[in-house]
Amino acid sequence: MRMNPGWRALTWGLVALLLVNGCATVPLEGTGGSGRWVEQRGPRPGSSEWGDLEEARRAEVESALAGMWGVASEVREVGAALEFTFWVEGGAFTLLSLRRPEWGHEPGSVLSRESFADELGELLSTYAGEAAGAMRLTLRREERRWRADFQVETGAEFPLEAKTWPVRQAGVRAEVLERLVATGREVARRVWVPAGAQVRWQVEVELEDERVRGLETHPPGALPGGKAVKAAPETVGTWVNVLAPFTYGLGPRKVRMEWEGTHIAGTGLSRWRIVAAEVVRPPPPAPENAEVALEYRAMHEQIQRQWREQTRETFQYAGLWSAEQVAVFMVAGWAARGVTLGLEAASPMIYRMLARGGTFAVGWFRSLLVRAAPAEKQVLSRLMAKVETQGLEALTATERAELQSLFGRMEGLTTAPLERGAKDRLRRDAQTRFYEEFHPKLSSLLRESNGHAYDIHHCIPLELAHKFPLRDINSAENLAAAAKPVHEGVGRVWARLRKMSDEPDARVVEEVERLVRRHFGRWFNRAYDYAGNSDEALAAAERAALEELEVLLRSR
Amino acid sequence: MDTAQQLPGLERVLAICQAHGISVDRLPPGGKAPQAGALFMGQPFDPLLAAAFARFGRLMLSPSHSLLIRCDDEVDGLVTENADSRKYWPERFQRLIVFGRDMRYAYATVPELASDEGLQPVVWIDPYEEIYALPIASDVNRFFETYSRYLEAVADEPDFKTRQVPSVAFPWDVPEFLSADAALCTMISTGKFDPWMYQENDASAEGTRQWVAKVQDLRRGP
Repeated sequence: MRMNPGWRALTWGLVALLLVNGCATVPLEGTGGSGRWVEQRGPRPGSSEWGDLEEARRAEVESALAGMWGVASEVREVGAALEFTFWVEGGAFTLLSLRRPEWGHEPGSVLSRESFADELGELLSTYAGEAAGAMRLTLRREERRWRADFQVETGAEFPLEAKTWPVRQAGVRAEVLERLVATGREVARRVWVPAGAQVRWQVEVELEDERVRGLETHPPGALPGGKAVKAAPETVGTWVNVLAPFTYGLGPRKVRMEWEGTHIAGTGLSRWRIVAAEVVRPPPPAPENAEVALEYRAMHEQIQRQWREQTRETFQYAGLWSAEQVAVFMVAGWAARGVTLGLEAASPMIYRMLARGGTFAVGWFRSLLVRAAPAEKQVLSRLMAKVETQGLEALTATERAELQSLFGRMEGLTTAPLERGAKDRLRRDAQTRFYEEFHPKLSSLLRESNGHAYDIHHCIPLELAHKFPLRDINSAENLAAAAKPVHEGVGRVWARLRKMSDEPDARVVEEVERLVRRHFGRWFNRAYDYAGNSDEALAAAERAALEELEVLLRSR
Repeated sequence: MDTAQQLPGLERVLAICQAHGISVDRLPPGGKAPQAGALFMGQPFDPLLAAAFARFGRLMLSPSHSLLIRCDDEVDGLVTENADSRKYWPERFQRLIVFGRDMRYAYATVPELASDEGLQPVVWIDPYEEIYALPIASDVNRFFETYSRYLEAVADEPDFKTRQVPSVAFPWDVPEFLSADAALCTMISTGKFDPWMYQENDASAEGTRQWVAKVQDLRRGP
């Protein structure tokens, strides 16, 4: 098992890591459809990826065991029950809730973590290879053991914070643990029990990925009077042990916990026990943003997994982002974080698109990124990887300034004529988007005799795209497949406009676009009849279009 | 001499494609492609191009991109493609022999600039707006060689792998690959390609000049 420097096992005072044999079932071949991370194919047995996956599964079992032991090790009362609910998928365990439905009575024997692991390790390993779903594991304390029982709920709705791919690293990152301890100390400072009483407090911890972002403590509705008795110092460890396993989840969420505090007789301190803890999720995205949100979630999980498997010092995001992914990140990731970075004034177009959200905004950003210089995309990818792993707050003032200036340049691109390299990239992007995303059925139909796919025509031409900064120049509406004779004819109409002494304004461009559609539209996205009399009809359409264009230009 | 000896650049393209998992759609040769030096639509056919078409009846990197247009016993794409260029393009572009296409861009040899050995240089033609061409290789083998270097540079980019959208455009963004071709640089500096590179009242001529300067600077070194 790898244990990087800078990591500590989840052992706040109590828990040690355990080596458990992982199972060797075939990995899931992409679960799909739920916003989970979808890998195209699982690795082959014997490959290094297969070895990594097995190691990751063992690490997941180990983390789940350590998380449960952190809570269970403090429970000695015979008859007590603990109920842990995990989302289990692809070998990954994500804790959704825990409860203590039974308190138990007299204390039983002291148990070792090894016996706990013996009881549960095999069960978890076996279950790790089963179908995705919620698993409720009930542990009952007997005199000399914990007895485990589990129930599976395969129809449960996928919780967005759940991992779908195992992380090859057990334990909690040192800096995360430090933050958890600081949070535990703060909780211990806030909660109290009236002398001689027993009360319940609600504690809510706001998490983003593994990071603690906020804390709220709510006293019971009515606190009996009496001297305030503070929490005993060792309570901090108890808080951390409950909270730590929840940090393995993903994205923004809260952990709502109910704690019971009891005045320890004869002392000025109180003892605290967990009653229940559960994840509270943010409201789901609006329906129009749901698709992008799920795509983002999958991407976010991928980068988080790599982050968690490395140290801060060694972390380098191994994958490069495609323009599509960067666009999804910008639209879904930053909008979700409420990022504005002062864009409203400096980059109003980009700001409007971020605010609009949804698939249109993703398409618009993608086209903008395709036209941006490759170096700009690299800067964005680098800053994006940092925000994705360490949060927006991790950006330095220099990095924020870098980002703002980058957005400023990108904003400028929206109204600047396209450079040749950018046109080239947009044409290729249009070709792929048209045949693979918008009209996959046309791919095999619209071919020239030599096997070439029909070229894609931009209805608003690329050379005039800067007149329409809020349009996605590579949207489905702006693209049409055209056989060579059609494209040539359309090209001659636009060439006439190019010969004007001054550049046409957006209104004229739109009129010409409509005119072209009117005269040539019947050949768009259709096979051209080379053998019939299409050439004559096409020539007539071109003449008519040019005549109409002359009238239009004279009337300006 | 076999094709591999004549066209090591073509072999390199195939090797790079294989190494990076780029699928190549290839067809066996037919009997229709012109022989070396034979007249094709009134122009002498390049001997290295003849050797390439003697090996493949088509070489496509994607449904929109052929390094060798289809020319076998069933389809004579060379004829249809060059008939189209004569139909649609200005006269000086009609004197070129188109042998490959990338969307509407085209690869063509320039018969009138053939070397003493009869090897023709290669240009890349952009007909999307005002038609123009950029010189890309001093001969057909060199074209494949240069293109293989370009492919090697972009093959592992995520946008290229998934969507065939490389971060840098050929040949605009890669003057460094072209500057390695000494014979090409000499031909450019003596203005041999000017009739196809610069048009009358060409608004984009300045961009072309800057690109040429980059190629030449890279040739000369720092």
